[in-house]
Amino acid sequence: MVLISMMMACLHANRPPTNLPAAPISTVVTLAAPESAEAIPAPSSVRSAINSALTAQGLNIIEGAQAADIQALGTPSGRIAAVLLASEGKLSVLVDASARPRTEISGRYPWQIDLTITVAEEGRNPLTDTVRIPVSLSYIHEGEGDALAAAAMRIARRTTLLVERFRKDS
Amino acid sequence: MTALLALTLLAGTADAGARVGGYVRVMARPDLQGGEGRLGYWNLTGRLMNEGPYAALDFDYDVLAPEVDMLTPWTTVHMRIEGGSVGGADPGNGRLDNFRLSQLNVTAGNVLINGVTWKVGTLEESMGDLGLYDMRLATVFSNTVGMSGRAQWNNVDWVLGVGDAGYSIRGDRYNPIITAGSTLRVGLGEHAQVGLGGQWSTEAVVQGHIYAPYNTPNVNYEDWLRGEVIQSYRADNPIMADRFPDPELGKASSGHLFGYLGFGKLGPLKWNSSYIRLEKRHPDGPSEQTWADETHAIHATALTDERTVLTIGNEALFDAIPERLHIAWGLLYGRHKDGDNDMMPSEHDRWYASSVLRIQTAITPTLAWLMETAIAKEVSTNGNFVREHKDSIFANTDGVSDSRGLEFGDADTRTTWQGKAGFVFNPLGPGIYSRPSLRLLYGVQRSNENNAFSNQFITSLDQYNAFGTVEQHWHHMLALEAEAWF
Repeated sequence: MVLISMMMACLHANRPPTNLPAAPISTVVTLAAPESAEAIPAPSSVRSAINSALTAQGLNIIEGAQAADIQALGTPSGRIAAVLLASEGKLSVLVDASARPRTEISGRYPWQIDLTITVAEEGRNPLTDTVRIPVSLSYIHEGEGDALAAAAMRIARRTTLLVERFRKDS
Repeated sequence: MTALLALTLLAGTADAGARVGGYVRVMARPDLQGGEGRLGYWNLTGRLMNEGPYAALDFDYDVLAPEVDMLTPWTTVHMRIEGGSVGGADPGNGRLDNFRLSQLNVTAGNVLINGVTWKVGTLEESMGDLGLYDMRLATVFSNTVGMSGRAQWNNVDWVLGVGDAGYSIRGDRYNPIITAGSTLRVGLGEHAQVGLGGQWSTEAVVQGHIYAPYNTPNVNYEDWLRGEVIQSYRADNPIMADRFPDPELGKASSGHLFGYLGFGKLGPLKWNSSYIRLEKRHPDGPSEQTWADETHAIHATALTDERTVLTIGNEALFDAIPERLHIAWGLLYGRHKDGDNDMMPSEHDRWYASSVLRIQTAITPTLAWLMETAIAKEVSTNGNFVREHKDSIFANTDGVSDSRGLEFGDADTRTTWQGKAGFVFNPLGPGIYSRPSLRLLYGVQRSNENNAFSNQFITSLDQYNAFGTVEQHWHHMLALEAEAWF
């Protein structure tokens, strides 16, 4: 059994490393709950997951804009402009997330995460992607932050992919 | 159905107002011991390998979507189609007649009162479940169509609803069953939740309505059980001119109360959910009995109105080693009582207790080793109900063969142990409740009951039984399964 477990451990699929050069990047994650019209602090685990994934791709995380400042702005263009201003025009990622609950199904609490991921750098057109991620939580008391945290790995993968594509064109 | 499927396709476009989710469970469990693909009889020894296929398609359409930064009205149409059949995985072979439109409602928020969500249609609300058993003890309105309001303020979540459960309970013998209920859940900081809820249903009593709750007068309970009400009446009233008694109006009501206590985020304890539920079952409708070319509907409201169920359940989920070792432990106790029946074993006169322990070890982030053990005891409080051997007696009284006896088999207790183990693929990462999960499992069961799983064996002891009888107390099974919420 131990041998089987060790053999299986070797089978874990890994993403191939990128050949792109190292670069600084800032990340911002915002979260909103449309049904209650609230802006909620995004759980730190989501930004950590994104930062870890980007670091694994050879990028250096730098300080950028604060999520609360970005959430207060009204338009997508205003938000990305503020993110670039805070990072002094360096490569930046803005993840705007909204979370909505759905009806309980078979004992689980499904949530819908809608993401708008924007990758930008001064002097280039931003690259924007929208994606919807389904999440199912185990407990009724879990809220928007828990739903976003449950999707952290998937958000990180998607963000990394988008950043890589953006960098390939530079 | 076609319209729903068409709308489902529309949901593929990200910006459309349609949203689709659902649940699927499908498996191949060829049973080489004569069973029908389930390790045991039911979920008392855990849901794993004891449930069949299932599929649910859940659909929302935002007629008016909520705005992120404005408390404007919004409204959504919600539908769900679900059923327990998949092509090639069960006798139903996925036919659509196994599926039903189980939920349809329209919700509207920020209408009249900010922060309140109104719902009209099917009203089911649940406060969580015992995942190892797939049981939801803290549920209301699972049978009710009507209107509810949900108010949420900070850590308080309050639902109040009223409606009709007549079609759910009576089907084509519809009679209105007015149902009202409420749930209240309060968050006590980050580490605890308390909830209460319940519902009460009362059936309409209208003289002359053939489906109203009635009682056939002077029915002896044992005669009713044996299907001998008419026979007994004619023994006392042999002249056919004596009219079989007309039914008399009765009263039928039902309901339940539940309590919920949840706590967690304490060290390795991720969350513990405790539930208690006390239920009074709704009385049965009439059933037909025939004797000597004479057929009557026997109305038995008063003979079935003292059925109660007490259920207590607990489930704890531990992240023993984060991202590596996960443990879920469940306990369940149930006590069913039927105050009208003191002579025949039935599902309404029994108690049971069970414990299920599941341990899942992540070998890699996407591959895990699962082990589960479960022990359960079911005891009939009205005599024997289990055949322990292939040649056990059938009808008996106190274990003594009696063709008029109301007991069955030679034991009043069924004790079952199950063990399950195997590999699980979790593409979304480790965790006992990480889904989708693709499983390769081996399961084993030991029970004192002979062939304690659904099967097609001939149990007759008749000498002309061409197939013979089989005695098996161990049951082994391999399973390839997939389960997903999406």
